[in-house]
Order: sequence, then C-alpha cells, then structure tokens
Amino acid sequence: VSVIGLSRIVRLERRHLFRSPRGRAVLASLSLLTLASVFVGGAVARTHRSAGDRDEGATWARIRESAGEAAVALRTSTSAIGSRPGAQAGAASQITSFDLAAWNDSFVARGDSPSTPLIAGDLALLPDSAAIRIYEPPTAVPSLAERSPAALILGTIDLAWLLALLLPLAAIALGFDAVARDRERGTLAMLLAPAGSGRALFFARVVASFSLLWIGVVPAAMIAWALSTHGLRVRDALSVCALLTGLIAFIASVVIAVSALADRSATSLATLIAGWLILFVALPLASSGLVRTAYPLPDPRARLEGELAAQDVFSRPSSAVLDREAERDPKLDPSLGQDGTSIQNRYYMLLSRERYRRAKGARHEEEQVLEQRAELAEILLWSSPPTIVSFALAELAGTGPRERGEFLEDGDAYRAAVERFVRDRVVANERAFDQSSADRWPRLDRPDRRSSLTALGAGLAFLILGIVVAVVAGAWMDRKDLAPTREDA
Amino acid sequence: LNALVAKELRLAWRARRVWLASLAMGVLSLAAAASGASQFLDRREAYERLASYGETSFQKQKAAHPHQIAHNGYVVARPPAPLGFLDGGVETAYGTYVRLDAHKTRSLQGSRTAELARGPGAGRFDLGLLLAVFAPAVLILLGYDLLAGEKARGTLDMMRVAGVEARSLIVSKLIGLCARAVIAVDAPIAVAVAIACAVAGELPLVRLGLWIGVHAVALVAWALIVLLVSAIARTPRGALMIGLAIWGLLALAVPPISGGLAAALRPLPPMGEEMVQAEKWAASAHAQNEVLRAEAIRDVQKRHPEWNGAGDPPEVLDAVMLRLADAEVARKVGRVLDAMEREEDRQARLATEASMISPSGLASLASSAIAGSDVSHMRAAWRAYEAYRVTLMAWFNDWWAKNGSGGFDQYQTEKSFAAFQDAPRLEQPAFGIGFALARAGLPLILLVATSLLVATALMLSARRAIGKGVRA
Repeated sequence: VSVIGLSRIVRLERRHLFRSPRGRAVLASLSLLTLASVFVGGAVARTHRSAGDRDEGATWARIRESAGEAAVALRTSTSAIGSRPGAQAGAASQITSFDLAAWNDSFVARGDSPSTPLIAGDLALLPDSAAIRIYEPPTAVPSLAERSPAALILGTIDLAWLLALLLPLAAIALGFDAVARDRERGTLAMLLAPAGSGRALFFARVVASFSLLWIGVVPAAMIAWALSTHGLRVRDALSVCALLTGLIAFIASVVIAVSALADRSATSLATLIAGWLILFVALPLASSGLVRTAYPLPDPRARLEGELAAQDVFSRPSSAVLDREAERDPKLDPSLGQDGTSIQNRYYMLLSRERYRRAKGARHEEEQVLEQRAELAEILLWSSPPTIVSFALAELAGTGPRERGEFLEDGDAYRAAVERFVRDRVVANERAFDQSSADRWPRLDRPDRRSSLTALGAGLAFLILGIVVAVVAGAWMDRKDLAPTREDA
Repeated sequence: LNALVAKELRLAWRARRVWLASLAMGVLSLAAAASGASQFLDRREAYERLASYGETSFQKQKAAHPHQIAHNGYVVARPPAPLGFLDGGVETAYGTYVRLDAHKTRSLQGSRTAELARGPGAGRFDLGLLLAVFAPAVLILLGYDLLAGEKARGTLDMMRVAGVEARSLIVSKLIGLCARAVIAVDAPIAVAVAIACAVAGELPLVRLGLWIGVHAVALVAWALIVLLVSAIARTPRGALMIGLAIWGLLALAVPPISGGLAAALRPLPPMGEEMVQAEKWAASAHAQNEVLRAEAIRDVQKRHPEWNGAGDPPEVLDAVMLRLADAEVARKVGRVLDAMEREEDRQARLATEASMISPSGLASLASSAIAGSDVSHMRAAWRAYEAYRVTLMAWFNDWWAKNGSGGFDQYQTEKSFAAFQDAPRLEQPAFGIGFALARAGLPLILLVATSLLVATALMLSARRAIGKGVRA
C-alpha cells in the first residue's frame, strides 16, 4: 500500500469514527471527564497547600510575635514535664529560643508542585505538615484519609484515576468491535479490497481510535492543568504529553488488536473487559497486597515502650545521662549558666538529646519497614499500566511512595538545624528571644526531588509497546481467515 | 404476568451466560472474602496483643505518686469493626491505639496510611467493595438485552398485540433479572459471606442482615438502571455500550468526583494550630494561681461543709486544683473537637449528597456504616477513650486528694502498685445497630429515592417502547 493510499484510508477511518454517534459520545465524555478530573484535582491540591501553609504561617507568626514576650505560657510546659506533681508556674521571665524550639510545636509545610493537580488523590494519603520539636523526630499531622470518609471510601478524582480506570473503558467502548464487527458481518473482505492489506486497515483504525482518544484527553488535560496551577514548567508539560500520547497509543493498539484477532464482537468485548479487570484493577490490588504481606508493619508495643522511655528522660531525669551528655558537649554544662533560665535551658538541652535518641529509636523499626515497603512498591509499580502512569505522575509531582518518608527525613534535618541554632543561643546564655533571632530562625528548604524522566520514559515505553502490538497484530490479522463466520453463513 | 414470569425464570436458569458469570463471581468473591477475612484476623490479633499489653503494663508498673501514674498513661486499643471482614471501610486509615496520658489529648496512633493505594476502596479488596463497585457490571452483562433483545427480535410488537401491559412486562423482566442476579451474584456472595464469617469466627446476625439488605437495595437500583437502559436502547449492542458507560460513570467516576468535590468545596480545617492549642491547655493543667486555689477551696467545702477554710484542708488542695484544671482543659479540647468533627461531617454530607446518583457510592458509604468501619464509628470510639482518660485522671486526682500522696513519691518506691488496682478500667464502647443506622440513614434514603426515580423512568420508557413498537 502506498503512503498516499494509506493516508487516504487513515483519513477515511478517522472521519468515519469522528462522525459516528459513538465516537462523538466518547469524545465529549472523555473531554468533560478530563476537564473535571484536572479541575477537581487542582481544587483539592489548593486545599492541601493552604492547610500546610496555614500551619507553617502560624508558626512563623508565633516566632515573630514571641520576640520579647514573657515565657510563662511556655515555661509551664517545662514544669508539667519536669517536676510533677503540683508544680508551680514558671517564673515570669523572657522567652528564649530553647523555649520556642522545645516546649512548642513548630510546623513545616510539606509543600506541593505545579503537577499535583494531576495526581491530587495522593495528597489524601500524605500529611500536609509536620510538627517539630527539638527533642523528638517530626510528627506528621493526620492526613485527609485519616479524617475524611469521603476521601477514602469514595476516592478523589484526578487525571491518574481517569487514565487508570476510565480511559481504557472509553477505548474499549470505542473500538471493541472496530474490526470484529466487519468480520462478523462478512464485510471485512470488501474493506480489504481497497485497503490492499489487513495491516493497512488495522493501522488506519488504530490511528483513528488513537486520534479520537488523544483529542479527547490531551488538549483538555493540558488546558485544565495550565489553568489550575501556576509555575508550570515546559519540560513537565512535554513529559505529560509524551506519557499521555504513549499510553493512548498503547491502549488503542491493544483494543484494536484484540478486535482484529477476535471472531466476534462479543468475544472481543469479553476479552477486553477481562484484560482491563486483570491489568487495571487486579494487578494494582495484588501489588499492594504483596507489599503488605512482604513487609508487615512491626508490633507497636516496642514503639510504645520506646516512647515511654523517651518521656521518662524528662519526667525522671538521670544524672548519668546529664553527665554523659555534658561530657560530649562541655559547652552546654549547666554550671556555665548565668541565671535560672540559662541553667534550666542547658539542663534540658542536654536531656533533649537523649530524649531524641530514644524517641528516634522507638520509631526505627517502623521507619525501616516503611522504607522497605516504598522500595518494593516502586519496583511493583512497573507491573501494570495504571500503576506506571500514577507512578510517573507522582514522580513529577513529588507524591510517590517515598514522599512521606522523605518529608519526615527533611523535617528531621530541619529539626537538627533548629537544634544547632538553639544550641548556639543556649551556649551564649540567651536571656530573651529577640527580633534578630526571629529573623535568623532556620527555614525548611526541601530539595527538589521531582523528576520528569519517569513520565518521559514511561511514555516512550508505552509508545514502543503500542507499536510492537500493532505490528504483530497487523501481521497476524493478515494470516487470519476472512471467511464469513457461522452467523453470516 | 404469571406466564411472563415463568418464561423469564426459565430463561434465567437456562442461560449459559448466567452460569459463566456465576463462576467468575464465585472466584472473585472467594478472593474478596479471603482478603477481607485475613486482614480482619490480623487486626484482631494486633488488637488483642495491644489490649493485653495495655492492661499488663498498667498493672505491672512500679508504684509512684498517683498523679505520676496518671502521667505514665494507659494504652488502649481499638477493636476491629464488627463486620470489618466484609467491609474494611476506613479501618486501614484510622489509628488503632493510643496512650492516654494525663492531660494530653492525643489522636489514635497506628494508622496504616502507607498501606493505602489509589483506586476504588483505596487498595482494599473485600466483599463490600466487590458488591458496591464490580457486581453492578455483572448485572449489566446479565440483563442488557432483556428489553432491547425483544425490540431487536420484533417480539415486543407481538406482546403488544397479545395485550401485554408495560407493568407486567417490566415486573416479569425485573423478576427475571433478579433471578439471574441470584444465581450469578447473590449465591456466590452468600457462600463467600458464610466462609468469611466462619474464618473470622463472627456471626452478628442483625448487623449482617442489614448489611446484606443495603447491598440488596443497591443491586435492585442497579437492576432498574439496567432495565431502563435496555428499554431506551434500540439494539442489544447499544444497550451493552450504554450500560457499560453508565456503570463506568456511576461506579468509577461519580464517587471520586463527589469525594473530590467535597474535599475541594468543604476543606477540613488544618489541625496544626489546634494541636498547639491543645498542648498549651494540657501544659496549663499544672499551672496554679489564686483564682484556681479559691475555686478548689470552694469545691472542697462543698464536700466538707464542716471545714471553714482555715487550717489543714480535708483534701489535698493541689490535687483538687489539678482536677479542676484538668476538667477545664477537657472541656476546651472537647469544644475544639466538636468544631472539627462538625466540619468533617459537613464534608461527608456533601460527598454523600453529591454521589446521590451513584448507587455504588451510596452503597459503599452505607455498607461501611453498617459494618461499623466508617469514620463515625472510629471517631466515636476515640471520643470514648478520651472520656475515659478524663475519668482515669479524675480518679487518680481524687485518690490523691483523699489519701494524700500516701507515701508514694515522684520516683519509684518500694510500695506496691496494689493501692491503685481499683482504678477504673476501660470498657470498650459498644455501638449498636441504632448508631450504625443513624450513620447509614442518609445514603440509604438516597439509595431508595434513586431506585424509585429510576423505576418511574423505566415504567415511562417501557410504556413508550411497547406503545410505539419497533421502528426496525
């Protein structure tokens, strides 16, 4: 078949598909659902961002307002922890950096990226912020999934959901009988006369189906994405385009290939629905089940014991611990303090290090399991098309399986920075937290771990797979019998 | 009508498609039952371990000052939902234990959000999910051609000539579809439910009956939708296409759109500042001032009118002050929690209303509520633990107020912990059927309303179809 002939067939098939009521219905539904998914995703992402920002903003406001404030409100915490029962309120003195960092929760926001509207459903599983105190590892605030039945039982629509569940169904509805119906009716032979070969017809129908799906999804997704986010990077947009193009090509090829190789439309539909259930529903469920089974979460009793031991560091202070810590950091020796506040700060600063170690140790086993799970999940995410797509988008948005752990790691690094900052002031026997200290208070600066390479690579892989499927199915179709089926006879 | 019903029942029994679907559903429902039951058993085992740990660690601790004991805390664990093996609901996302520690209000720990995944059910696969989301697709495959097939074959005209009324036709087709559903969906699910109950070792009959009832109502709604589609479509192929599209929309698109809209339009307030506030209040429980002291004296005088405020008080004032301060902290925290829960309820209500047209979304919400695995049950359990914390705290403060420190000091002592053995133990809150029904009420009402709406539309379209005959 000449190139001109092939392009003519492609044009004809495309026109036919775009003008058919089914084609129009699929196109309209896909465009509407894509717009809805990205806009809803964008709105959901904004609520998460504002939640994190509110907590972090309130922390900064508190730090700024604390400059020069009396310490009674915070210092009572010290007495509550250190000298029960019937402790007296702390003496009215000025707040110090140590008071702010130890007796008060500071919140850091997890932050988001311009790509989060595409995968906003992931945000329900992630904390929007974490509480930091210098004597314990960061504590994530409860995620939306832990507070809202709607987010978990019903789910949250976003582009990844659409691509995983609805796009394949739309492709099946569009093309399950693309070739099988002609075979069933006995009109395939007539169609093959002008087309020249089965491959040309097959290719033309794949291109027609691909074009309709592409026009239904990609422009709507890109427009809605651009409107619902800010700071969109060109390379991210190109990666998403590549991912969508590759995925659509793959799905269109597979659907038309099954239709071309089936004798009847019903067989084609049953095969495709079964395949969709296995590839797009069963495999992702099995993967998450496998991760759970391979690395079960540890018994929480060890953590509870560890947390109680950590609490004991302040409630039953040990002179051995104090001596050991003072030996490690002699500048913090309480005897070098100049007044009650600075002596108390040095005392608790030394204890806080031991308390941090115990609290960290209490969480160690659980953190290790979660890390192992994230590693295995990242491998298993390559086992099915929907998980590949959601992983690629998650990598782009920074909401992947490692994000929770990485956020808490970054939070811990920030905690260490705050501890260094506070230590310098404790060593200098700070009497009052002033404006210059407020200005120099460390800020969380998370490294940018987002990557558009996964989306690009996944898109290319899907495209290559789609082409391979098309070539093999086209060749196979040529060998298949064109005789009318039993029904035609 | 009898003849039509008999014909439909005969066809249902003889259809190969029905038995193939039954086989497929059998495999799926067994997998779902196994998955749900094994998760439930894990949860129950973890609960029993933690409950026993909490009790043992409380009783075996070293004796100390009564208020110190209260600060050491008491670990309580949340038992799994009564029908958690059938519908996991939000079990995985919600915490499972908490150390109740003096004045501090802590949220439940041990939530397993890391186990959640994308997609319907957030990664869980149990009978609740299978019935709500995937069984409707089977119903479509079973019944898409019930009316459209008559149209395509031209037998609808014959029926009209024979004087068959639309109502009789619809009733017979509905009974026929229900018979197919019984063979292909209900029977395998019933076997799977029985196996899940046996594996989990639980048989709460009333709750189980209600849970089955919720899904039955949802399946009837779906059956009516399938018949409506079959009545509207001109050909069986068209009916299948429209049916699958509607299933995709109602089961896979509308619920997450509702969830997303609810999250976007009624966002939950961030928790950070509330956590800070609660910590400050908790810390302030130990603060003492003259106003509090005066209040404590008045409180003691209420119980001991003979004491005129001079000399040694009959109760330890420090303890009374702590009790009063702690009660005030609990009230303040309670108000914050009430406000936050109101916001969560508003979001849930919006999500429920938005998923009104989706029997799957409504069935999921009602099913988890009846199973006791929805967020209301989890939240109520946690509030009961919080109330117990206040009771325990008050008990220790009372002990201290009445007996003094009793020789116990802040650090460990040689005295025995036996003096505190009478401290109240947690009684797990029992949530009856009434509580579950109150939570499942709105989704259930909407589900019935949807069914009635679809039934009306079906009757109208069937009358029209029979009246017009077939253009083909």
